[in-house]
Amino acid sequence: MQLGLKKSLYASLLIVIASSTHAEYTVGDGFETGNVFLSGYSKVAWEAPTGKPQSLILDDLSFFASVSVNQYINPFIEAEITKAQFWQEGDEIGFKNSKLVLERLYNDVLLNDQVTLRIGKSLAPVGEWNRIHAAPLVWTTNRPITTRYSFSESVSGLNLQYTQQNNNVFHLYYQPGSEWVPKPNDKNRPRDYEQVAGVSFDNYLSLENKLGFSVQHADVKNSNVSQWVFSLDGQWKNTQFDIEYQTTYAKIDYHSVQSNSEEWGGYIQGIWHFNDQWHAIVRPEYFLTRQNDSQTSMLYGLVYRPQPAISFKLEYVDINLKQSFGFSQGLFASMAVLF
Amino acid sequence: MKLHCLLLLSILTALPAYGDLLIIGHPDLVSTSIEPNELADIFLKRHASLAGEHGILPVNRLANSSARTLFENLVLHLSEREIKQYWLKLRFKGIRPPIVQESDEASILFIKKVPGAITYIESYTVPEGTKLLLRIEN
Repeated sequence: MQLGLKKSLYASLLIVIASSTHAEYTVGDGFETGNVFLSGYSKVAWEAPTGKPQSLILDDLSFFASVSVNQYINPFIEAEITKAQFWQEGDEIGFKNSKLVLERLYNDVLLNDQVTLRIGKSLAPVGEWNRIHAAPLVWTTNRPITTRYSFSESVSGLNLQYTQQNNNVFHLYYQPGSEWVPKPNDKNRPRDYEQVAGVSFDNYLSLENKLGFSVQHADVKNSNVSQWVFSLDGQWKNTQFDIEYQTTYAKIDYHSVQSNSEEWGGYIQGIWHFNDQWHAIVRPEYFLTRQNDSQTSMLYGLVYRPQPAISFKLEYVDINLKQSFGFSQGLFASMAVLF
Repeated sequence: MKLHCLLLLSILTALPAYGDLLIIGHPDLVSTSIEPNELADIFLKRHASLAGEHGILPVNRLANSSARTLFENLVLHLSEREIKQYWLKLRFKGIRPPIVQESDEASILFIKKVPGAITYIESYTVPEGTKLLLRIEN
């Protein structure tokens, strides 16, 4: 017994030493020492919406850290400063309106090789964009409305993940109350949710090609409204051309004269790879809110990625009508780096 | 003559290691073989188990090593850039890449000592005290 314990301690020590082995740092690698990993990303955006003042915004400065102690203790935290306006046309220079957001705070319990129980605040598995939304890893400065508008983006509670040998991944999650440290609301995140429960299924046809389906039920906070949201998303990657898409449909159980009992939308994004560094993006999107506002947008973008962890983006967004939600029409650019 | 011998010796020692790509594991592994697609899944942290065997621990080599390049070409079938992009996304999801060892000697020592560990080396002979799971001719 004692020999077994000694062997395990020796093995653990070897693993910690091996984890400390440092290769030459390249951007995006993060910083790893022993069983601690630190990383983060930042995004600076320039916005020139038609008919509105131009502005320069530190849109994200995010830090995340994880520690792997053993099968039961694997905490992870992500906090970020978001929407810090640095400059606006006709205004003074200086940071304004910045917000500190707790994006994730959880502990993973590895129940076995295939099942992980995540306890705490994590990202809801509704579409790929919601789970991997870091600016350097996505293709556009503006996030599609479909990927965030209708559902709870996070789960503050329990999230059980099961990975099958054939690369199907299932999630089952439950948030008993309100979101921990909720994100501030804005025009594209109009409400908070409570009593959130959902399931999701992702089928990875290959490393990058996937098909995902999810269902989420939630109560809208401070109202007598509850809703079901169904989402279908996928990505198909090719050497020269990729397609990504998501569509969501929300069934709302209460409606008044001013509101619909349905809310739905979808986007499809085509990415053309000129080479490893240069990419062109086209993305049509349609969205109809429960308030009967609709928006059709078309995004044309150009992305330069000198390295996988760094991106420079320039895009033009064309919309049919000016609404109180969704995108503004105009020109947008951003630089993002994962460090 | 002595100088020529020394010169020849220094050239030979400077040459990179050649050999087949051997996938080796801890001697107590129950599995006697592994399929290349299973191996890819384990090194990409898509699975942590082989059939009937749990707690498999992949051990990588440094990114610029010839064994790593050979492994990525022959087993993962991905370019360095694709692998980098893949791990950027997984790190953001909270999943870390396999641990890294700096040399064949360190990898072999690790494999011998840590139950469930598997790695790859460029060699024609299987190191003593390890189990051969797969040989990919180079």
